[in-house]
Amino acid sequence: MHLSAILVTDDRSLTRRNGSSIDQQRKNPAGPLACAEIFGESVLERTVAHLRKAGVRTIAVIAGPGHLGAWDPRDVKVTIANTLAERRAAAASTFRKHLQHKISSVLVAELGAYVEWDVVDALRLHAARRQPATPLHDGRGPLRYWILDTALMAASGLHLPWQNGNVAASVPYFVPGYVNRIADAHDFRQLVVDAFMGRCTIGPRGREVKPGVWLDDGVQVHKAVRLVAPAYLGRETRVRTGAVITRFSNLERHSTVGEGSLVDRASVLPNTLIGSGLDVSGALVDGGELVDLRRDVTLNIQDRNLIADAVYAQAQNSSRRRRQATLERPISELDFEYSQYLSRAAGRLLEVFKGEV
Amino acid sequence: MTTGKPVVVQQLPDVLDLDRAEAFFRAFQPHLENDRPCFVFDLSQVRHLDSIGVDLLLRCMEETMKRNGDLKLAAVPPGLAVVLEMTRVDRLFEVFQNCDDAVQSFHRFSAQGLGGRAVARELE
Repeated sequence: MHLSAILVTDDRSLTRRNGSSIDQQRKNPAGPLACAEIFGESVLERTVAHLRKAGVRTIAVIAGPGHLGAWDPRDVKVTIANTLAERRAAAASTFRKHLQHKISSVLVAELGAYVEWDVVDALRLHAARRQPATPLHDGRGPLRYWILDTALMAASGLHLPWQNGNVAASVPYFVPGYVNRIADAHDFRQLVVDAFMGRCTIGPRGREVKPGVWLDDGVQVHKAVRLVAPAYLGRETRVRTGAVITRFSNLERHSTVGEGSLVDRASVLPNTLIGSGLDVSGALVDGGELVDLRRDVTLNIQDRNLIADAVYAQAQNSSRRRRQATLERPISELDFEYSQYLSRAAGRLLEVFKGEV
Repeated sequence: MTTGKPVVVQQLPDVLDLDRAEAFFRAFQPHLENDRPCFVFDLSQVRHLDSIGVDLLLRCMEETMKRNGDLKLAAVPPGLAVVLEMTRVDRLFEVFQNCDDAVQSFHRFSAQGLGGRAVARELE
């Protein structure tokens, strides 16, 4: 039996987008949690790899702009569509093409959840039940994964599961393996902890430099940094002197932790700058946005001495250097680098020098 | 990953006043000559921990880190765990339920032995 797959990214994001000019300028906007990286790979990448390993050769990914991050998918048909409605329409169109190519079964999934499931076993059960759609469930309910019989779906009018109620009458396949719905930042952090604890098959990339501490390629860690297991440092991360990375923390690729900062029970997503002298505990940080898990609040922080999107901060630095070059009075003698108070004052001083006050 | 380095287990005294802390540090120092020294401090007998004891832990950790070694804590009584948490020192150490788990952790990683299971429970 030939199985293909259509994976659609949803819009459940780590953080809210308020449509401000800051967000619009941000080069690395927050995407769905399924596309956030854990130990160097996103749930989306891992799902594709899992399907490939199970023998699924035809895989289509329908994602929003920026959802793929640094992933360069090979042998995967990628479609970019802005809204979830547009992505679902693209999924329906892709499904029709799979039908025309006489593929007998199609997995359609709205990521979403991270699911460790036996594809062959599920396909066997789906074939035995002869129903248009077999939804995947776990003990808490549906997972938004469906195995569809193309012929029976065509006979029922080609509506994908999110469009009709046929699925409600279908007998589900119960996934016995590990499942995390990644509905919010708490779920994301739980997945990280579970991965460190070996409760799922997600494992860190890179080299285990000491038991429980993994460093991926290109990591630069000052010798006066304390790494307390378990911890993961992703590709090209930088950890400055006196910093502490501890207790189930993961720093994803191209992140930087400043001098003397502490990262404890926290996830730092790609391209994030953590400033100096900070205590980031029990949190999920993505660029300029921080989710405090204990207080259940999300902050958008625009002071890049605290946290920042690395790409956006670099663009701002270039812009600030260009502005400084046009000032009549040189300010090179003023060192704003290491004090957040001086930096805020620097913003005010720059205004004075420019004569805007 | 497994490593075969020897691990030095040292039991801290029940009371860590200035004299005993200094005596402990003197007994600790010779083991720093080992290549990448590995230490487990057994706190099971410690009845009282204050800033002198915390300072001792930090000094030992600092000396160990200078030599690319590591120092872990084991069998921390609940009352002492509060002090470590209050002083934020708990985040600087891997803490284990017992010395065996702590020693084993130098040879291979097992999250099960970590006192940091509390972190996992926090999220569950």
